[in-house]
Amino acid sequence: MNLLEVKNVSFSYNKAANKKERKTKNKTDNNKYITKAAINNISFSVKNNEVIGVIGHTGSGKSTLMQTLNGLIKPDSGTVYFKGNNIFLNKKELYKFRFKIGLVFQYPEYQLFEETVFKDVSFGPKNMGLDEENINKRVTEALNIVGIKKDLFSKSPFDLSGGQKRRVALAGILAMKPEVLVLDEPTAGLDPVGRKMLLNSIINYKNQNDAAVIIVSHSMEDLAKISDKLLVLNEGNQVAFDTLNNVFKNRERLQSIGLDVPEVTKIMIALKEKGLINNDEVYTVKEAADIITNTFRGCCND
Amino acid sequence: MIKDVSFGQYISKNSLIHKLDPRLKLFLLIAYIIFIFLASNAYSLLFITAATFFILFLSKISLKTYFKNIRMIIPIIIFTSLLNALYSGGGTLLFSYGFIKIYTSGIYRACFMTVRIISLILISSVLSYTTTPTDLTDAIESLLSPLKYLGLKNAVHTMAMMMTIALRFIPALIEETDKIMSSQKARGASMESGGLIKRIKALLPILIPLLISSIRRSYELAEAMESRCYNGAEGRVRMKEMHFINKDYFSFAFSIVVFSVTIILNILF
Repeated sequence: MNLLEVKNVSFSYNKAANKKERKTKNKTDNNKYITKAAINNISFSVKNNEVIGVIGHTGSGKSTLMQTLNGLIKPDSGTVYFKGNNIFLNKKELYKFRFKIGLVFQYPEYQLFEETVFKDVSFGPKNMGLDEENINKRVTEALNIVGIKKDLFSKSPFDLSGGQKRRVALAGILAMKPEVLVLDEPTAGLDPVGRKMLLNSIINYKNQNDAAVIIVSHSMEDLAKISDKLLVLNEGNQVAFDTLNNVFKNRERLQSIGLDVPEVTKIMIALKEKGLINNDEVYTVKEAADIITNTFRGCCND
Repeated sequence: MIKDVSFGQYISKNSLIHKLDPRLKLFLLIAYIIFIFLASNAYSLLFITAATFFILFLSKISLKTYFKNIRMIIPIIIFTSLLNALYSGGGTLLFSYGFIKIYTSGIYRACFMTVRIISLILISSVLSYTTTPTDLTDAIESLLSPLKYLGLKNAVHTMAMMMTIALRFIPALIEETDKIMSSQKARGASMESGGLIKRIKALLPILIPLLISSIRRSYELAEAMESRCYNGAEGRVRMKEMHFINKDYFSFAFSIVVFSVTIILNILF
């Protein structure tokens, strides 16, 4: 069964302003002033233990889409189902879904506010109304998953390094134990070690809790490593929702909307063109290394 | 929702008033305010109000937009009218109920005050609608420049720079607040429910990150300015020099006529 299902979701900003504009300008030019939607008719779904990568050029509506998933933005049309329940059905119950569908914003370290790391991470679980024992258990677990050591628990979050702050902020969401984890560019601005640690924490959380993950990133390499499916957006429209293979196979279409295949795939495509290998459907360095070593070991042993 | 709050009321139009030198506009605004207060009888007040409407017309901004500003001060208008109506005696008694007595002169005073307040608001709106905040701070800096003879040159420049930066950061901070509110909502924070103390407490998760990010931003800005050799007023030149042109002289002369007629009407009647 689908854990989260997005059906025909559309949303546009500045409706009032646009309406006024349309009223006055319609007479002169009908097509030019049609409201430009931030997202337009997006549909996809995610199952337990599945990772969906979301890619798209700047301004393609990724962040807007992420905020509709947990009800921070109410779409103009279409809706979001969590385990078959329409999350927008009852306005008063909406906040409960935010504990189930955890959203980590871009640069989440700017949301930290408490005196200690431990207190900050417990903000979410406290809002859920859990008892103290439960809160402590969840906070410790979440901080363990993101690799924050015990001696940092009582430190001020503002004394940590950038990467540590980011991981504490992630723990703040993980402590609510969401069944769907939504991340908006979680690795932006981190060094390679920080990226790796953060992605590993996300994967560990997913495996331990059988959770679904929806992750926005500009890094094709990161997405190729962890995603099961890709959702491709361009100017608010859904270009594709498919497996890695099917999305990366169509390189021209990706390039036409300002995206491309992972770097390693480019190398493999070039090698295949030279006739050195016969498989270029490779998206991670590890796979590529295996294929190259196998091919050339074969050739040199002859 | 918080994004809907517009700050700075500048409306871009191509009108005479928009093109005037901001220093002159600021100076004339102060003069108009003084003369609206000086207008002491119905004739002079009506005359300067008519002049105000003529200026509104010249600014090419619809009256509807101007009257939006008046809507906000309706409580003040009602309050002053009531006070004036109740406390001025003289003329014939129109209405009495217990200690409340309303005379014709009270009604006259109330109308007079209402027209005066409305003119004041309208003429002030002209400046904010037709002048960008940056132009306005430049004008203030220029008008205060005589203070440099008191050895305050740097102080005037610093004040103006602070105002410019403050205005520049308001939209950025509004956006930041929106973002922080959304991310705390994503952690289950609720800002709409609970008693007063609970609501104040609910503001902390927003105010603290906001304060920290403003401090961070100001450090970054200070560094960016220093790395471009910003050095205060010393040796600083402007990209846009302000000059008086014919339009400005004409507007100045027009205003002098308006002020003179107001005073003459004051004396005659």
